[in-house]
Amino acid sequence: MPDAPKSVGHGDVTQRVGVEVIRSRGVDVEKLIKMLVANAAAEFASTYYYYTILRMHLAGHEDYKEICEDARLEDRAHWELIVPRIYELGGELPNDLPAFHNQAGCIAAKLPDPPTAVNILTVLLESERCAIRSWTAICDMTFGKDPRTYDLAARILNEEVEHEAWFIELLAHERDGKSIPSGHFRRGEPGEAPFSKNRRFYNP
Amino acid sequence: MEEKAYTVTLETPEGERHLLCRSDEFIWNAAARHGILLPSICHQGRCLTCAGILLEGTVDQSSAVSFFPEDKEAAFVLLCTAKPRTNLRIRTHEAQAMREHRAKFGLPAPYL
Repeated sequence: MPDAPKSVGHGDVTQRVGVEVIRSRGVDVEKLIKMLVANAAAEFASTYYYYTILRMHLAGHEDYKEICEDARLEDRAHWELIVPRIYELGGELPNDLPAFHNQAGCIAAKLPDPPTAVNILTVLLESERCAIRSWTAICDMTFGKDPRTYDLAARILNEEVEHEAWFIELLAHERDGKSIPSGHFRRGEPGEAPFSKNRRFYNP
Repeated sequence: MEEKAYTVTLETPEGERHLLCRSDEFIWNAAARHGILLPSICHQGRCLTCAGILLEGTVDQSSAVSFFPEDKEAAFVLLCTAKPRTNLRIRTHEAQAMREHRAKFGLPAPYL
C-alpha cells in the first residue's frame, strides 16, 4: 500500500491531500470526476426531472404513483449526495443546464406515447437499470482505493437496486399478470432514502 | 423462423477475436456469450462506453437511444445496441474517439 503523498506543501491551498491520496492509490481522478458528473446529470436531469412528469400520468394507479414518487425523491437525494463530492475532488458542474443534460450517461426518462401504466413502468424500470450499471461502474473504479466515493456510490446503488425490484414487481403485475415480489414492503415517508440519507432502513 | 447468424471479427487491444452473432442479437451480448468482455455501462446506446469503428459490413443501430447521422458517417458503432446485417469487422475500444467526435459537432458526449 503506497504512503499518503507528501507533495502537498504546508499551507498550500492549491492541492488537496484528499485527492492526492486516492490518486496515489491508482484512481484516475479526472476520469472519476467526469463519471460523477455524468451520474449526477442522470440523477437530476434524466430521472428526477422526468419522473416528476411520469408520476403525473399515473392517475388511477395511486400505488404506482406513490412508488414513482419515492424513486423520484430518492434520485434527488442521490444528486444532493454526490454533487459535493464532485467539488471536493476538484471538479465542478457545467455552468449551463443543456450542457449538463447532455453529459448524462442514461437516456432521459421521457413520457412514453401512449402514457399507459405499462409504458411508464417500462421507462422507470429501464432508467433504474441504467442507474445500477452507472453506479456499479463508480464502485468498481473506487473499490479499495477511494473509500469516500465508494461509500457514497454504494449507498446510492443500494437504493437503485431496490427501485429496480419495485418496478419489476409492478410491471410484471400490470403487464403480465404475474407476481414477482420485490421483497420490499414499504418506505416510511415519501422518498425516505434510507441509505443515501443515512436513515434507518425498514427492518422490523 | 430461425434467425441468421453472421461472423463478427473484433479488433481488440488484446488481438483479433471472432464470434457468431445472430441477426436479432446485440453484438456486445454475443461477444459476452463468447467470453469476450467489452467495455459498457448504460446498455442503452447512450453513454458511448462500448463504441467501436465499423471497418467492414453493415449493422442495424436502430435500438440505440442516441445515435446521429454524423456518427454513422464517421463509421462509429455502439456495440451494446447494434445488430449485424452482414459479416462484420469492428475495431473496439473507441469510446474516447467517439466522444471527441461528438464534441466537435456539439452532440451529447457523456463522460467527456
